[in-house]
Amino acid sequence: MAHPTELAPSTSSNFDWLRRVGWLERIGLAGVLAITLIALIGPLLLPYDPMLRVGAAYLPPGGSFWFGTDEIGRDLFSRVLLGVRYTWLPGLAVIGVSLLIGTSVGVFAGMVGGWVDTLLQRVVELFLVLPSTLIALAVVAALGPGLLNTMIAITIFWWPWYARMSRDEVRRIRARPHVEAARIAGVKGPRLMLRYLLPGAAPALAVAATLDVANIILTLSVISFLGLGLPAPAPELGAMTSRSVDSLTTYWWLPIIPALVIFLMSMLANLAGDGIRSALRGA
Amino acid sequence: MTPPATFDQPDTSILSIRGLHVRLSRDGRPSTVLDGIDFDLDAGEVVALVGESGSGKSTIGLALQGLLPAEAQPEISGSIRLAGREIVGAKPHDLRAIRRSLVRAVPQDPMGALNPTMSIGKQLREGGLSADEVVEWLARTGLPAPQRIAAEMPHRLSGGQRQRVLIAMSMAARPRVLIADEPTTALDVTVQAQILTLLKDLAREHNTAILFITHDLAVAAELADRVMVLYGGRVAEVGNTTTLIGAPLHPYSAGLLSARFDLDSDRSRQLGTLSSEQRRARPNGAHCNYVTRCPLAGTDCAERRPDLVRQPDGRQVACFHADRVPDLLAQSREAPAWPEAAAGDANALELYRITKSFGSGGGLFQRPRQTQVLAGIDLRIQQGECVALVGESGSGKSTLLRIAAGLLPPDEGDVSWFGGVQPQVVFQDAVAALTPWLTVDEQIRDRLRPLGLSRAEQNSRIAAALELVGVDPALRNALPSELSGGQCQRITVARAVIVPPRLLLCDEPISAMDVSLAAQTLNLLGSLRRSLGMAMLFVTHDLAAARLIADRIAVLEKGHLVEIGEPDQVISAPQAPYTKTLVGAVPRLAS
Repeated sequence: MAHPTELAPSTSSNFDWLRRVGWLERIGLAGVLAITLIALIGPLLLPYDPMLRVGAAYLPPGGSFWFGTDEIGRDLFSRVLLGVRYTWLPGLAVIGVSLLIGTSVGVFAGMVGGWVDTLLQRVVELFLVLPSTLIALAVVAALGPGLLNTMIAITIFWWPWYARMSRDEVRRIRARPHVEAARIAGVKGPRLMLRYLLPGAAPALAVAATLDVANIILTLSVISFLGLGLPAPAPELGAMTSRSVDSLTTYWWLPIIPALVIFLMSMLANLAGDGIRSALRGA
Repeated sequence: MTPPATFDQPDTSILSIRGLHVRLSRDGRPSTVLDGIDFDLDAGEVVALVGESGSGKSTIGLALQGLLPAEAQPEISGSIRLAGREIVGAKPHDLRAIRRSLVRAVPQDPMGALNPTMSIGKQLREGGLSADEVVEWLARTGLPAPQRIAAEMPHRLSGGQRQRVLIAMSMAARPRVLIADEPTTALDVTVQAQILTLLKDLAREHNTAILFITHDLAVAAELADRVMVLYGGRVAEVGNTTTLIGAPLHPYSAGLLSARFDLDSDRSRQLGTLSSEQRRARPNGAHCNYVTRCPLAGTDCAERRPDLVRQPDGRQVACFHADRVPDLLAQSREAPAWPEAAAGDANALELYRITKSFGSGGGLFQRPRQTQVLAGIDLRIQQGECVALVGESGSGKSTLLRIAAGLLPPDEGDVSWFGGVQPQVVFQDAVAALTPWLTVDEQIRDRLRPLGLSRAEQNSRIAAALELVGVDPALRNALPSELSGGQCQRITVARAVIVPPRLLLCDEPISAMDVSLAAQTLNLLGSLRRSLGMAMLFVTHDLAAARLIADRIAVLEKGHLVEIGEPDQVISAPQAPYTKTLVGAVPRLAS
């Protein structure tokens, strides 16, 4: 009954999604990949040891020290390069762990519904109403300063956002005809959750998570800025800014360059988030 | 009604389109939507623009108003002259003036076109009418108590009333051309007929030309002086309504006619379908656009493009093989008979005194109240039997289907299925009923999982099911987004019948479909239920479809079953007054 030529599947290219992404967003996506690469292989690229005195103190940018030197003559470029690693990778790790915890709780609550959902929702709200930065500071103060403790502190108030979002997404998708159709076809339990519900929630979560990278970096920097992050010699960008902010008028490059790098990373992550949103819009 | 002074057209035509090409982009990919349209519309003439979705019929309507969507980056060439003024390339300021006085549109969705925060009267007065004129125009569209309507907010009116308001709004501007883009598809059948009559009367009274955009030839036949059939952005055939409907000369118009069913169609056999369903990708080029679906297609059709040729009787057809179309039509009347049905004595579905109410309102300005949707429904469907449940929107028919499917618990009453097995459901919107990120194969396979078959057995069952519903098994790895709407519907049917259920529930499966697709789906469901011995509950608002597919028709009015019986008996001698209205409102070709 059907004409033979109509049955060939339409040839849609695998790069269709790229069309929907604007050029600024493409720069964001490429930038995020580049930062991740730098964070991973950064230590191999250092021109100088970032922890040791390698020249005169307070040398302005230029010459053999591209970003100048700091108050004890350490190479700022090397320190910033390593600082990207200490800021970016913890940021990604916090996002990853928060997503894992949040999505598990949220999808479970959304799918089971009833009193389980209500209970989990109240717990999530409890976390959400707490003043986040204060709590993080309290946690770090209690556990002692350090990168891992800072990450734990941020994760504690970050996962509930994903829990609430994934729960709402699952509730929304659950009401759609295709999930109803799948239930009638006899799909239930984990299969329904993992194959029919979770992929529907994934785009929104992916967009939120990418946009959050910038927030996490800033929060990490704030905590380091307040002196509760990595201990002193480690080149964390927020801490570098904070320690040198007094010299803003005299040796501007010391606070400005790390701050600019934080700004650049946040902006690229935001653009990448927009890019992922555009790419998924047609999906 | 004298034409404006700038009127410089030599003949009587109010609208003249020449060589109109439109390209629109979707997701950054441009495609040709209109490919060389030539067309004239005379003052006071009613012309129906008939075509399926994607044929470009709505684009013509938008181009006439200079309203092609900017986000689609329209590229337009050719000429549209409306009362002597060129629309292609006109400045936004001039276009606004043209839209204000020369061309008006009645939209498909009347609610979307009304400001929900402003009373009807106020919205009409914004168009420059005095309070008296508002009432006068509302009265002219047949609205009862026009004073009261003028004071109402849009959401308080019914769909039909809103559409009348919009017609009043458009006609009050005394346009030269009125564009009506499927103005009745969102309305119930009984209201549809009234709106069509109203449009026709107003056009005659005010000498307004109407471009009536529709996918339904029967609606076109009731209203139009001339019919223009569009296919793939090109004119397939234009002609006088009676000639064209009586003896179409383009295979596509013939296909539309043969697939078209009404209360007089032969229900002992399947519907004649002359064309396969639409392909998604349809490159425009040096060939007939219809070549991929045409039963008459020869090598010439794939190599050259047929031009519109004037026939002796005055109509124009773009087909190399127009002389063979009458034979084709005759052939389609010999469609195959239905397969033998197997029936049983046991009940496949028993609904006993089903009642259901929904709480509604409870907002700031509305008292919460319980609305009874179903009032004590008793219905039994025997094994192998098909019952069509007919009613208008709000009659409770979809609620009853959801209760019968076990998706919704009734407030009172019992639902029982033969053997206690939950029935399968075919949904109205097939695309929405498929999970977008899973392939056809994965979604169908999930129904086989409980059976404990081997992977190879599952594969062959899936291939067999796809073949049964007329889908190439090679499409099993496609995602729903890569398929046409018709293919998606077939796949939801395949998923429902791969393990043949005792009972198949169909929720308006054809209401969103073009005629040819609707006919194919009716053929498919009608054949499958007989060959697989399934009982079926077929929910529809279309009495003609119900008559074709069902052994019994049940009529639902406001939650009450008002009539149930054999299709021909219900239609030729309706007992309930409501059934009489429904029967009278179905458009018929042979009028």
